[in-house]
Amino acid sequence: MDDEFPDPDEEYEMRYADEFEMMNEFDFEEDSAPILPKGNDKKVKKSLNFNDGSNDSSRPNSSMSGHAVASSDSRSNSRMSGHANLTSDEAGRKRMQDEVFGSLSDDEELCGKGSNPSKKSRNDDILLDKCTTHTIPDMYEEPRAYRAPRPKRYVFRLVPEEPHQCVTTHTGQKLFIRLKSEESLRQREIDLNSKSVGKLLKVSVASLKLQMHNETRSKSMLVSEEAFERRLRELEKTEYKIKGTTVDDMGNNSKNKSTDSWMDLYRPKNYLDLLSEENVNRTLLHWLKLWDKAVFNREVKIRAPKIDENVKPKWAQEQKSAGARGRFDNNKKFEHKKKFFNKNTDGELKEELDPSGRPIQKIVLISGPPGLGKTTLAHVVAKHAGYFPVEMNASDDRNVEAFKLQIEAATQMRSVIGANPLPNCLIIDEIDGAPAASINFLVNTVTQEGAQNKENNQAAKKKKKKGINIVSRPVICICNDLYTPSLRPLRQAALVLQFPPTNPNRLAQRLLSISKEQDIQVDMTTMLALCEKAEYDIRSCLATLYFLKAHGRPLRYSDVMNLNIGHKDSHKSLFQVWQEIFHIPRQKRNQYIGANEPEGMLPLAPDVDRPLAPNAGNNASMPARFANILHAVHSCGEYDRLMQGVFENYPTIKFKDSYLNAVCTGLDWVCYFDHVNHFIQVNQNYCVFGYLPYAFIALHFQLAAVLSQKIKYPTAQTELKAKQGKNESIVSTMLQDLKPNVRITNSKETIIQDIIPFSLPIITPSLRPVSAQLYSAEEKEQILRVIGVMISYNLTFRQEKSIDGVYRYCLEPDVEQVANFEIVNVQRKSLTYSVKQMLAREIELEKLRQYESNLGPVTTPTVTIEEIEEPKVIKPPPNAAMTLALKPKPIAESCKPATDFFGRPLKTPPKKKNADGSIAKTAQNDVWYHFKEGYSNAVRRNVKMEDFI
Amino acid sequence: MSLWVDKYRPNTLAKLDFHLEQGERLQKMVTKGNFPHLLIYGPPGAGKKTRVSALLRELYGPGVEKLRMEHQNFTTPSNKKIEVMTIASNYHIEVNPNDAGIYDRIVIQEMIKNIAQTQQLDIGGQREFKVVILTEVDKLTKDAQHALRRTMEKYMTTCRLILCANSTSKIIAPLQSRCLAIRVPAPSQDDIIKVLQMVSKKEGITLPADFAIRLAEKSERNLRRALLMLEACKVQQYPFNIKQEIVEPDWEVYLRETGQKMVSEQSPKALLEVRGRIYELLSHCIAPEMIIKKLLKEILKNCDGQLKAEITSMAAYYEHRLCLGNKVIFHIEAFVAKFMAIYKRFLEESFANI
Repeated sequence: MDDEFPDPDEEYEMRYADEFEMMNEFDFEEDSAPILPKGNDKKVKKSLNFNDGSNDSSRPNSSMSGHAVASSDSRSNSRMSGHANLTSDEAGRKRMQDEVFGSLSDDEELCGKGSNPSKKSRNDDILLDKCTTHTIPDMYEEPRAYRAPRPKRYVFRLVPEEPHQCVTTHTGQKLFIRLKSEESLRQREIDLNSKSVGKLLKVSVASLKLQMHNETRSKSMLVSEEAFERRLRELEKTEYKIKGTTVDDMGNNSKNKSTDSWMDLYRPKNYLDLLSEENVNRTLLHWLKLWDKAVFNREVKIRAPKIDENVKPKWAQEQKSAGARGRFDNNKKFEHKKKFFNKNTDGELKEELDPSGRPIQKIVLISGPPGLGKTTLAHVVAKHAGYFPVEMNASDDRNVEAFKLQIEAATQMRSVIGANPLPNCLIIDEIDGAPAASINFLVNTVTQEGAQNKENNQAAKKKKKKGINIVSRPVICICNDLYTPSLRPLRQAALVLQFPPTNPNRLAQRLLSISKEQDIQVDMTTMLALCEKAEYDIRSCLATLYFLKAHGRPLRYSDVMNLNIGHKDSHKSLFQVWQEIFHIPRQKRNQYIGANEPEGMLPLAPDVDRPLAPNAGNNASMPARFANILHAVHSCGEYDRLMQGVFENYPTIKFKDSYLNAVCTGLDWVCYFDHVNHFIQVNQNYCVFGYLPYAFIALHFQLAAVLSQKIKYPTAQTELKAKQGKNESIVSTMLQDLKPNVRITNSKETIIQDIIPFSLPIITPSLRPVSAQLYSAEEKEQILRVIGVMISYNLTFRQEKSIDGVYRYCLEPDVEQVANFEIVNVQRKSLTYSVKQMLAREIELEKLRQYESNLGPVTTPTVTIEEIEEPKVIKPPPNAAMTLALKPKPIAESCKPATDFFGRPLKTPPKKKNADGSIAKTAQNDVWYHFKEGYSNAVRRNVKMEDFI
Repeated sequence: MSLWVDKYRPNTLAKLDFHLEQGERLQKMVTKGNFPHLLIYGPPGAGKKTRVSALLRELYGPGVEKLRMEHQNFTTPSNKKIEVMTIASNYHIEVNPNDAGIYDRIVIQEMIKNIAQTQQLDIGGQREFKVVILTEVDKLTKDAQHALRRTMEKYMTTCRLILCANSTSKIIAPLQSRCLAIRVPAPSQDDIIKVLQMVSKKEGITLPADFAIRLAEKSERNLRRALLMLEACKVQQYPFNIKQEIVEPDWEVYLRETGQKMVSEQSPKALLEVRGRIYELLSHCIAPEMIIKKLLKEILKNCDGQLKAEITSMAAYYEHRLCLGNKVIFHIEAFVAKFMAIYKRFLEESFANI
């Protein structure tokens, strides 16, 4: 519409060129019209009050209060007729103009209106036209060219040379209205009066007009004066020099700047502009330079790392690996940060190149919180090293297919079009959001082809590798959270660069220079505060600064402090929050939060803080700390683990508490927390969830110390869980196989508390470490009892191979673990290996015996006792003895075939008989069984289990 | 050939060693025929289970001693499978619903109803009802206890319940009113000495009277303990020496040491050490209530008379809170810290007075 408009307008102007001339004449006349200037002035002021634009269509309304009322009926009539007289063509045009200029500011319109007093209908029409033509030049530059003779104007956008009045419309536009000299005014008035005295009205129209005039004027003057004054005051406050810069220029300026944000405007253009840590920049650049051989076919200079930094030129320092200290940092704080940084850089840049001439680490992974300039760094460094950065970010499709395509496109191709075909450098931004499959693919392409290269062992000629899918361009990945699970493979393969926070001084310096450029008055401390508030996020700083600029006042420290924006809703790590909870802030830190925090922010502030409210001005005041901790805890969210950490760490904190009162109160809060948590978990009712963070605040006030302490990650609870679970499973396995008659009288608790602790000494009688045969009857009885107890409580010994390869017997289930504590003064008895072995065997046998007795014909218990005792006497020999006994077997066999098949030296009399009998039988038989080697009188026969035991 | 505790457990009401009057009453109740639901409660080691099994034998004869163990499976509404072990004879079934944890209500509802709904088939048997024994009733959830209420009334003809508990305080009143509550108090020291003498006589060992007294004192009127101690001591050293050291469970020794540490030093460092020990105890499945109880006992021994009341009330308070909470260590430590604060203040004050 706007674009179309000028054409008909031009046409129109050409058509009515002669009328224009006439109009100009009129203009001259009207300039000297008596009432005009006043009316003009007045109307302008009124328009400030009546904010609805009084364009043509709304004129009747505006005339209610305007001087138009005063104009006679004839005037309105003439106006009507004027309208009627319009040709259809003109009418249509006029409407269109009305529509177009619906939003015209009143002032321009007034220029036309001012000429209303003339009574000729034609004049009226011309006026309308003139009104439109008048306005056009203001809005559009082009038509101006057509109007060679510029009519005299009353309203200006630029500061006129004549005496003028400055006004501002409701839209904020500044205009200047020319003032007339008093004399001319008076003269015109008289002229008019003399012309129109005494025709139809008793009082002359002019006097009526004057009356009206005065009334409305005084009214509107009052109002507008006030507004004007206010505005002026504001203007004066801002120290803009309005006189110097024209209104138009201002508008243009702001327009230009708003199109591209400050972020783009002040983005570092070259390497030296970078704000980020020098080390990171250098490492990245150096890594990129390592690609030179593969990409540009230039020799990479690899320097020995032990070059003296002072002697060597700058590049030598660049060669130093990520651990290199920059030489710019003098202050200790910075140094400290460096150490921190070094520790965190888990990837050391490897200098060597692989056979294909590329660095060993083919990917760089830059990580760090948002707004530190990671992306910018990547771009700048890539450009600096002579690459064309190809960026790929979360806005792109990143499934495996797309990823593959992109990687191939970026790393294996070269832009042909363009004057300066630079090699690509692929920058994958926001990679932590990419699907794991894509990342795996990326890592695979990089590592796998590395392996291929080794196989080929070819020199780094690109031509040879054409068939192979190879990444021959550097790839820079950028992420916020280094420990996203999907990044794990990449982390291992890539050179990891962690972005330390920007140096506040440098950042503030930069912001200061920006604000100077933008005419914001601000000082260094304010800037530092802003940086701190934005947590050194450059982007956030700039955005906040931009916002503050809109105020149009010099920035003060308190402005930044009071600002509600600029706070980042970032996630804090557990350790950060613990650190904050256990640390009493120094005077200077965090002062902005508490001191000026609006009251509404702390709806639940406990009464504890009230008495200290006068202290609010203090930086480390209670409300400040309160809000700070609350914020920190909120931003972490893992209340349960937080509490565990607080609980496990507080005794190591050196807080002042000689009577342990703080500890007691603190622990009561911990208990409170536990209750609330329990309630939430049991009832699944989260309405009290909001109260949990307040426990931390209380803990902070009780347990914080000035000295910060190293905080350990809480593990005790999980360890406890694991151990407890293990012990519980031991007890439950024991319970499961307990004999019913024992089980019925024992609950789990009694087993743990009484039975196991007491039965352990019971089953470890003091036995002499001698051969089993040598035991006295008493000792044998003891052993029997042990076996009995162990069987009834389902215990046995099991052979186990310990880590150092030693065999030992331990209880199964291992109730020792449940019952035994590390008590200093208690020496525990334990059975020897051989005794345990023997016991284990006997227990097995006893179990078998009992099982058989359950199955077979009922054997009286007395018999079994006899049986037990008999083997006791007979075969205590442990395994070792048996193996020894095997050796003399052949000899014994040959000389005495009647001995036992197993070559046992001793035998129960009944059994021996039995065996003897059978052997005698076989001896008499003619059938002999020959085995592969040697001779055996082994015979197949039915043997009962009890014969062996 | 088992522990003496099991070996010399009386299996009929007539053979009971103490609370003889109560035994007679139980006998009468069985013979009279009008057998109610029972709630048997008393401290551990007093003989509750012994009485229950003797009662069963009185009711059904020796057949009740033929026990078998069965595993029963239940499915919770959330489709979780839980397994509960029961010990049953032809006449009765014993179950510990706590094995099902928080799902004990389902065990109560399904299993007991099942058992109760079926009639006793063996008409030749003496009784027309079966007996269901529920152990550790005081640990049942409220839901489960409420589930029990109606069942108890509805199936009165076919089944009787015997509830075993340590204390009635955690059993809801409606259940208590439906049962005949029988309290089995802990045996007196004399009772214990008598039993110890009897057992040692049967075992053919000589037990000096003094040593028996020491054992009885040490056992804190818990007969199970007394017998276990006797046996353990016998294994350790026989013939008995009056000065002989009595075997104690490790966890008690450990707790005692912990208590001594609390008394000897009051500081965050000591707190940390005590915490480590409490973690150790908890990981050995020692009940947290027991920890507080034993600690309190140890502390009170070393504590001035005027503090005892305060500390005891603190212990009660924290034990209560512990039951309401999730992580017991918080509450135990709170108790420990509170004691330390009280004790330290007391010490400073008394020093100041001197």
